[in-house]
Amino acid sequence: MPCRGAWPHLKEVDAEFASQGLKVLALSDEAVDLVEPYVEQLDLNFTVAAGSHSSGAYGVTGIPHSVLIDAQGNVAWQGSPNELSKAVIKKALKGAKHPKTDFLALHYAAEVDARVSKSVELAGDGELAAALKEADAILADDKATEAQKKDATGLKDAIEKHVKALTDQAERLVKARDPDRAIRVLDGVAKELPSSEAGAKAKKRIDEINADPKMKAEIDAAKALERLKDQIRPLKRDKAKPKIEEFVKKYEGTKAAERAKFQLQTIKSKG
Amino acid sequence: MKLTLAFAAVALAALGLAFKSALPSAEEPEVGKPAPEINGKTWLNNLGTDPNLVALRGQAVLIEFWATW
Repeated sequence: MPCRGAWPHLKEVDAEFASQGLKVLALSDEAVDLVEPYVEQLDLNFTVAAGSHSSGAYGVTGIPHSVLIDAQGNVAWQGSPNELSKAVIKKALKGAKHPKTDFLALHYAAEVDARVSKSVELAGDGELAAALKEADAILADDKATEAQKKDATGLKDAIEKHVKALTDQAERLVKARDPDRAIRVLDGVAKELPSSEAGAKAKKRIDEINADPKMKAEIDAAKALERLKDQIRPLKRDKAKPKIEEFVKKYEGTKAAERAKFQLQTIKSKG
Repeated sequence: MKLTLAFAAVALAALGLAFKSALPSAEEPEVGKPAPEINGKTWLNNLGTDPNLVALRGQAVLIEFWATW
């Protein structure tokens, strides 16, 4: 069985269960310069790792190989991806939390005073505003100990750094001509921290991206490509080909056009 | 000559044995037991911090081992 045969299945699983709290992670041992163009061209929307060293710990002897981990962190199922049933996934999702914007979550690994742990938990759930509020309350409390205040300050700093890392990531996405994802990250920050400086900046940046004609072209092309995909799905190859060619011409210079071009090559190589 | 060959065979066998024991045990984790931590050098299509199972506790995770070939 080819290693890449399970993508449609995985995309489907991701689309159906991500909102219910399932995180799909595709791990490859290969180097990033091999994996990245592949992921780019296929427009895979779930998270992919390159240079992973996890197959040993999981006793992987053949690929593709899937492992399902339940919300409690235990192995729920393992085997060939095509044999994974929806019922098994639903069972593993029992008790799972489903954060709307999971990228806001900050896992703060440092040991903290019990009084600060609630704030840490909130940050772990992506509730950054609530976490900051809780930390500020500790800092403003005369009865709080020095240790508690120190921990609260440490967490506040970590959240600040995390938000900075998120906005930096949005800029990298803009550079990679992926305004959709960039806006999603900025929007998450802006909505979570509307009254903060970072939130205001994020909001402003979204407006700038939307006003940038190059970025707008990327967004339009990406949307059009989705429509094209739906349109050509039932068509035979010889009927689909001219439609893709037309698309490549119309949206030339965009990332979506490059992806469409890749699809054309695949069609041609299949004959 | 024969002796040399025999030596070579023994040496090779020993080497093979050494290699075998140096390999990680290819055993799957037990169902129902905690999943081993995962790692990736570079994460693509990921928004936010690099994922790991500790940070993802509370969510279900589907890991797929794959390759581009």
